[in-house]
Amino acid sequence: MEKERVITIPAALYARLEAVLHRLGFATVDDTVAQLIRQHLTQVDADEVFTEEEEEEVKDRLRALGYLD
Amino acid sequence: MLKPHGGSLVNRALTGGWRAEAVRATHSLVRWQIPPDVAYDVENIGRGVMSPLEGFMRQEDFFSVVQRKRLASDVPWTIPIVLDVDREDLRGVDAGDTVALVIEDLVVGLLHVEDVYTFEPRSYAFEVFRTLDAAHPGVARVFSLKPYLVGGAVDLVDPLPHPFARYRLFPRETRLLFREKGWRTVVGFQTRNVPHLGHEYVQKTALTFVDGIFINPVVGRKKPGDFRDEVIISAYESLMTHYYLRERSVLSVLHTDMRYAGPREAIFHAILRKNFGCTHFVVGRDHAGVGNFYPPYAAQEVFEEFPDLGIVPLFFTAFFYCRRCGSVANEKTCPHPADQRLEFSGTGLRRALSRDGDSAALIRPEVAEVIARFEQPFVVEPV
Repeated sequence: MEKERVITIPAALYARLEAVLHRLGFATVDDTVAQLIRQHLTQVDADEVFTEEEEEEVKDRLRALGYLD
Repeated sequence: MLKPHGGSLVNRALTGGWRAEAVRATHSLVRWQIPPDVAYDVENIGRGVMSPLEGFMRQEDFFSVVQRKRLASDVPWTIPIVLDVDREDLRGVDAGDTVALVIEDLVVGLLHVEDVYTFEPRSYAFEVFRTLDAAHPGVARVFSLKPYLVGGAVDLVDPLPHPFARYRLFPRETRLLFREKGWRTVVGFQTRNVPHLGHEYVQKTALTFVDGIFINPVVGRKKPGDFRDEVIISAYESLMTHYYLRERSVLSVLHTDMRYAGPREAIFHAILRKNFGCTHFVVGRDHAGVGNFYPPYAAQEVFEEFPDLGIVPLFFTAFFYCRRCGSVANEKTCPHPADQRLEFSGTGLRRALSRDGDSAALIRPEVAEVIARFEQPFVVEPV
């Protein structure tokens, strides 16, 4: 089983998350927080690692602006 | 490619379903109207220009930056990036809440409030600007801040439309662009002026030692007497069209306020260019200074305090045009007396722009012609 650590968040934030978690498709606040963190880390880690689609989007913009041929 | 400041590039720009969900959620949030300069800060944070900042500074980072020129994590950082509010704004807002940052109906971003704190304006101003003289535009700005600062991460939702969108690039784009151009070393050049031959000399000297140059004028709030943003961009367009190799140079604007904090701002400017992917950064005489508030080379000396900055500063002395040398020169390269020299001063440039005397020695004719098209090339009131 994966090791787990306790994360502390403000009580008000916990309550707000608890109120909306079913709309986000999660069963528990813990699952929701873990998924949100993964999502965020994916964004942060993606600084220079583009998917092919993302890279092409950026290149298209750079071409449209005249920065790339 | 050089790693971004703090290790990784922040990306807090919401896209797709996340953006749509955020917009929907804002209907039930407290909304704070923000001025355009704050909106551009939100975009700069969200798109990684200010990495590793993920939002407006929390108290711990604010005081650490003011007192130590470093974030609480010990990463170098010299300019506070803060969001100021009034007491009334804080009604119904607590740590843990999310606030929508809006301009009229445009939801620019979400602020996830982590803390609210007060500060001592005189201490903030003196530590950052080394003066309490309200004639200093940075000091005046600090003295005009609202009494509470709110720290917390921000998410970029919908950026404010930009007058120079054609030249607006962000670190993910520039890093890819530099890679595609095959540049392994890139020198960043910060400017808030129209280009004269002294600038061109510095830029091309620096470019001689690296693969490419990233010319990155700052647009945004400036002081009266500075050139207007449209003039600066038009002048650079002309210069680069006629005198620069396209495969070795990139022009892009950075929208952030000038703080005129001299040495501290030189470090700040270097950090931002590091995030864009620059390996080197030009620091000239009185970089980001104003009036006589800073010694001429203080902005170079301050780099000694930051061996861990992670970008190589290239220091340049003041330049002038020497009639005897027949070229741009400096104290280290020219043996001729002062009466042979034309200074790149404000007065000298104004004369050059009016096609008086030795104008061709100070500014390219194509650049002078572009500037002359503007009836009022200077900022009259703070913008």
